[in-house]
Amino acid sequence: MQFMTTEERNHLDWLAFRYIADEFSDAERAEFEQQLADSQPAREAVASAVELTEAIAVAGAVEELTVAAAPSVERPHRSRWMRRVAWLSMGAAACLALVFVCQGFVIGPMVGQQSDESADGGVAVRKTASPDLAIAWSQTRAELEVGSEGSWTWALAADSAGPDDPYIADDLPLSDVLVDEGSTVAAPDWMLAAVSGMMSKSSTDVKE
Amino acid sequence: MTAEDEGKLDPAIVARLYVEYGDELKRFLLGVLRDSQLASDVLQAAFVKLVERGHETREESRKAWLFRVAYNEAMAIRRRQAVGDKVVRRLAWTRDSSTGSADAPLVRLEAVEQVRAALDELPAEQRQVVRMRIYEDKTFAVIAEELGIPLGTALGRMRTALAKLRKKLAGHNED
Repeated sequence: MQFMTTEERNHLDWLAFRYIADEFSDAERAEFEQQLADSQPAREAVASAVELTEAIAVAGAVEELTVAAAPSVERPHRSRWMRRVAWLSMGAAACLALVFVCQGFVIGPMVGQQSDESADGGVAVRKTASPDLAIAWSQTRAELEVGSEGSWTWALAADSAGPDDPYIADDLPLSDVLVDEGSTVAAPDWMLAAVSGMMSKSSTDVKE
Repeated sequence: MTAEDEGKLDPAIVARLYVEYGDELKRFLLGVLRDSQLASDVLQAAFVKLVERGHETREESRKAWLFRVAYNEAMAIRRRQAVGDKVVRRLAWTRDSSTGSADAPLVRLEAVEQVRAALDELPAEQRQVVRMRIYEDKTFAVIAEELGIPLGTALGRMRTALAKLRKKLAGHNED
C-alpha cells in the first residue's frame, strides 16, 4: 500500500466522487480511468465514494420517511397542515350545515316541540337537536382550532392524509400538495425501495 | 487431490475473500459501470477468475489483483456494450426502479445513521448543496446558478461536506 498524505487522500476522494457523479470532462474521465487501471487506492476511493453517496441518499430517504411518519409541531410544514385543518373545519361545518338543513326540511315544523304525530303512533318522537348540535359544533370547532396547534386532530390529519386525501387532492394546487414549503422534494421510488430493502436485510440479519 | 493441486485456489479462501471484499468490489464496479446488474455480473466473473487463477497470485496482493481484474472486465464490457459514454450518464447510486429494487443497498444501517447524524451537523449552506446534488440530482453548474454562487463555491461546499461526512463514516468503520 502506497503512503498518501491526508491532502492527497482528500484529493483522491474528491476525484472519485466527481467521477461517479459524472462531473468530469471527457479528458478528465479518461485520465482518472487510467489512474484506476494502475492504482488500487484510486479504485478503493471509488468504492468509498459510492458507499458514502449511497449512505447519504438512504439517510435522506430515511429522513423523509421519518418526517412523514412522525409529524411534530416543530416541523416547518405547519402551513400545509394548517390548510388541511382548515379544510377539515370546512368539511365539518358543511356536514353540520347539511344536518341543520335536513332538519329544517324534514322536522322543521317540529323544532322545539313534541311531535304531534307521535301521539297517534306515527313518526318517531323527536325533540329538537338544536342545543345539542350547537354544543357539538362548538366542541368540534374548539377541537379543530386546538388541533391546528398540535392536538389529536393534528395527528389525525397527518395520519389520514395521503395521495387520495380528498381535502388535499380536490382543491389544493398539486404543487402545494406534493412539495412542502421549505422542505426537500419527495423521496423518489428508488430511495424508498432502497430503504425497505435495507430494512428487510437488517431484519433478516437479526433473525440469523 | 486438493484444489491447489488442480491449479485452483482453495474454495474456502475464495469464500473468505468474497466475504471480505465482495461488497467493496461491488461498490467499485457500480461506480465504474453505473449499472447494478452489470456490476453483479462482473463481480461474479472476477471471482470465477480468482478461483481459476488466484493460486498464481500472492496472498498479500489478492485484493488489488481482484480489483484490477474486475476493472479490466468492466472496461471490456463497457467497450463491448458502448455503455461508457453513451448509455449510462447517471449517478452510480441511481437505481433502475424496474429492476434495481431487488438489490439491497450496499450500505449498513449503522453507516446510514452515522451519516444522517453528520448531515444534521453540517452548516446549512453545505447541507443545501449536498441535498441539491444528491437528492435532487442537479449538476454543480445548475446548483451554482440556482443559488447565485460561483461554481467553485458550490464545488467547495460539496467537497468540504463530503470530507466531513466521510470522516464520520470512516470513524464508524474503524469502531
